[in-house]
Amino acid sequence: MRLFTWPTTLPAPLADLYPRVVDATDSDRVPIADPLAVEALRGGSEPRDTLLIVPDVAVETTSPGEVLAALSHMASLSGIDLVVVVGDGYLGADIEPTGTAVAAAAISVMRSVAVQRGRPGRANAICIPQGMLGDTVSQRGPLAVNVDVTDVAHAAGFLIDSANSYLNGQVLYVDAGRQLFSSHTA
Amino acid sequence: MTDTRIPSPPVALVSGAGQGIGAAIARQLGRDGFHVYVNDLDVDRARSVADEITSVGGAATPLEADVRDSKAIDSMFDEIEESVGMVDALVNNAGIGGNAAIRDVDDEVWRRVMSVDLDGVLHCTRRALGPMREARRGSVVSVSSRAWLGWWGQGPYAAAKAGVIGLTRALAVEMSSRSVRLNVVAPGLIDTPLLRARDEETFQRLMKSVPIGRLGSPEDVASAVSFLVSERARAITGQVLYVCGGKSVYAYPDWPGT
Repeated sequence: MRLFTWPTTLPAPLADLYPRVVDATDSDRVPIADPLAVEALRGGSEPRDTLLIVPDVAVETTSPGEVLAALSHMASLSGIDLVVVVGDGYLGADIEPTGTAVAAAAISVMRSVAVQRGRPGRANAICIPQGMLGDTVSQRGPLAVNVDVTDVAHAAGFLIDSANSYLNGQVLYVDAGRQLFSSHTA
Repeated sequence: MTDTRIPSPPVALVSGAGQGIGAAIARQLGRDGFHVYVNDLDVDRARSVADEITSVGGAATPLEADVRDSKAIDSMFDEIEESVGMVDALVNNAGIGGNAAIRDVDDEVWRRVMSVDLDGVLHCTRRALGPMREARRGSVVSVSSRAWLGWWGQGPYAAAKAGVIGLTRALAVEMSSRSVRLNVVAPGLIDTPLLRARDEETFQRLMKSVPIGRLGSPEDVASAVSFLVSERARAITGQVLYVCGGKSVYAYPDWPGT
């Protein structure tokens, strides 16, 4: 099993995640430079390969339209499990909406992929405190814990574990309970 | 006063664990290193599951108690605490179905479903949270159902399972400052003898309604519970995790009569 990531260049906190996920799943890290490179995976992937997508990061260097096009393209890959990591601003936050709109669209793409008939592979998401991918390494919610990258890594390891292959189309909130105050999350 | 020191091994209590999903959860937590208290109305079934766990080197104890009876539940917790200390992980699994069109739902049917599926969760959770609050640690996972989203003939069941989610989310907020986590797993179609007993046409229709193309197993649910009670999920509380193969996502259900 291999773990692919997009985009390739990520802030340090999330980049820390990869070796841990690789350790947890015994997979090889194969970076993807851009959506065109994903094309090279067609026909070459194994059924349990996982593609980790972080649109919030991608949108910082690419236009929202290009990010969504890339998402749709990658989502069409058959036989690959998708895990999308987004900030919780998409639930509704008083912040600049471009990034949160892309995150919301990414969740929508993930859910649509999850229900595509006959598509081998699953699709799930992890939602983390907004801003955690930037300068702030940890964030607190109602629960008295600091959410850190290890928590995200554990969640990713859980979602891609074959023992959890009946999980599909889900958003796992790794946020110390911040999502509890949103009507969108039950 | 309850002994809230961290025991070795940690203690888990699974209600309704004599068969099916509950038994799978108990076995998984046994493999995870918990001393598992296997609760069931039928103590012989509970004993059988506990024996399975101990036969492979785990620690398990069968316990008979009716989740509808708050006094019996209090006594069950007293017994555990006197023996090994506080319960570190509570799994509210005990439940009954309640399929009936609303015209057939009299007070007795309604109360029967509510008393097991919702009152039972309250009785166990309320009692477990006392020591957890004091110790500032602990985890509760309640087994709801994807059916809470609503379906024909499932009024009482859906209402009870929705209640489990509402109770869990409220208590997740209430207990957050005490570092106690509460979460929900909501299974979809799980492969059980009851489901297999349906006629072939119905069975195939149900299968097709699952995007991932298969029924879930009790072990699928157990794996999710195992994660949520573990330290790996220390930043997760108030989550409703559907173990359903994607059925909870689908915008176009398999509509009866069309």
